[in-house]
Amino acid sequence: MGLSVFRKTLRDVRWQVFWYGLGLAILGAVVVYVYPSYREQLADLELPDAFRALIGDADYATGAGFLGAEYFSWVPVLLVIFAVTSGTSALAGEEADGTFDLLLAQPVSRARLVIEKLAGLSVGTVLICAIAYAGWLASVPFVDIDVSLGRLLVATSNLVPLTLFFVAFSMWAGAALPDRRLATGLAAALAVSSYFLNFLGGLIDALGPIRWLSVFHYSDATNVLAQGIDLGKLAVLLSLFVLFALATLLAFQRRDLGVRSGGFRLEWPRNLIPPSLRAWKE
Amino acid sequence: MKSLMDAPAIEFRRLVKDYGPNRALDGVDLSVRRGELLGFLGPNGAGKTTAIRILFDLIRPTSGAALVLGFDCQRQSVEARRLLGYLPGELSLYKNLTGQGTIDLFRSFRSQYVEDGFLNALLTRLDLDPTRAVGAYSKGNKQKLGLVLAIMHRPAVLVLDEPTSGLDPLVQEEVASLLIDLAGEGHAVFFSSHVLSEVERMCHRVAFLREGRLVALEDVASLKGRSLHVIEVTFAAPIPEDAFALAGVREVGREGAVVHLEVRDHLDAALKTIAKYRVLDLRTEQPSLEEVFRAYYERSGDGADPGGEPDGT
Repeated sequence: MGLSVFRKTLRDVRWQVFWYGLGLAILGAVVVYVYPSYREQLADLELPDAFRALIGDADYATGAGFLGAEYFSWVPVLLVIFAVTSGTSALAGEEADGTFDLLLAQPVSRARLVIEKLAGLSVGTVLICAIAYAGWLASVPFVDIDVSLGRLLVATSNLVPLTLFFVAFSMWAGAALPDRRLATGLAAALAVSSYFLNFLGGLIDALGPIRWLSVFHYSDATNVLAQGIDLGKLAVLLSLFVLFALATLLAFQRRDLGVRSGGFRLEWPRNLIPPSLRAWKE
Repeated sequence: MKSLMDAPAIEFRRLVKDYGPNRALDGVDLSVRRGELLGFLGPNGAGKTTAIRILFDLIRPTSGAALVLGFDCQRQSVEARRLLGYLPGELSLYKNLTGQGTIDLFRSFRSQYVEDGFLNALLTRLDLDPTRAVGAYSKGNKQKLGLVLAIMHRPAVLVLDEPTSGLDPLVQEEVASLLIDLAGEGHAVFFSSHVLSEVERMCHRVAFLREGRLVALEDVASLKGRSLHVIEVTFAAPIPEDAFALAGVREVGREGAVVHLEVRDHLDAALKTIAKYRVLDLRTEQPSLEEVFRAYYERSGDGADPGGEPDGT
């Protein structure tokens, strides 16, 4: 069988992986190269609270604090966009495009299909972060910045679990909801609300107690570079990933696959009749 | 292996499928024999595609079962699908692959069953160039590629939803002869169509589905031989409106002095009635399956909806 769905999935995202990875690498390198010219001014800067909440607890003037604020605070959002687009395409998208009809008519179990697709996107995510890491290799050794490449490896790897969670969540949404637009909408809504809840939770006291509802809180990308990974939070994130991966298997197993664009129909099967078949009037 | 020896190629057992309040299939019982070409006919929305998609476990029956050579399409779906070949009615292929890339992808799921010689002969026979990108294929070429994907592993049971749609007549001929050859080698071929002439020409039997129910299952030969005559008579002058109010005779159209009749069983009475008037011309035609079937419904009084929308989904 040769993992052909896995390879097809990875092939489908190969250019996205390349461009996302390259973009993040360039961003990272640029942030590192501009650091020395900012350092002097930053040391005695009084930062507003809102900015402080966004950039985390580390000292902004240190290398780790600066990269946390200028890179790791918002780069997860880009990765989540990758996760939501590729995760919803993987199931809901193929159903809407109608290509599942022929793929699932082959002797492949649905569970296997889901697992190979999830594995393909997971490897894609790891590759993006690996390419992004090359940006540090191309900048940190040549700049006077007090950040180690080892710490950056930890912080860059820490982007993977959050992205994987959103891949799994988007696949689940595609398997459980009627169509692709709903799936994309739900995943995007979760991403945006989580991001802002985590950000505002550090700023507004009233939101502090519910900050734990945000998945970004468990990724804590901004602070990992300075403070290291909190294993408890990582465990929560990985558990959520596994939970939604399993939920995807169950939901997809039970799904009646729709034909043609739009996928599964609430108004079945009137829309199901292909216009090309309307020849028979009697 | 016992099941492989005895079981029919395809078996639907009291198959029911509901979509919310709509009943798409209402207790379909049907078996397709091995080596048989069975045509699956019916108006749009009759449930043909629904039944076919249940075979591939793309959708699940509300009740009843579908089996392929004894394997349950739901509980043993991978085994069932290993024996099947499929051409979907609405064929969607990956636009970013070439024809060859598409063949390689689908071949990878059943590589040990695809022989290069057979595959190449198939490509030659259908005159398909696999080096081009699928996105650049015409509808006819996509359909040809779909046929290659359905047939390349020489499935024991081949299921085709509207196989000749989008193909030019010469290729339609080639596909028809290909399917006849496969059936000759013992493969079962089950295909849906609304092109009656094609079904008439190729099939051994025809199953007719309407509003989710199997309303007829007949040998094509015996159907054609069924006593139905389609007659067109040109009279010298218009004849009375009620001249053909006879049992077993149906006046299907009239333009002035030209009358079209469908005569079942009572040919003698009809001819004697015709003979009462002055006749200028008389033609009889071979009834098409459509006409035979229409006559069939009305006789069996399958009257859930007298004259209702034929496209009742």
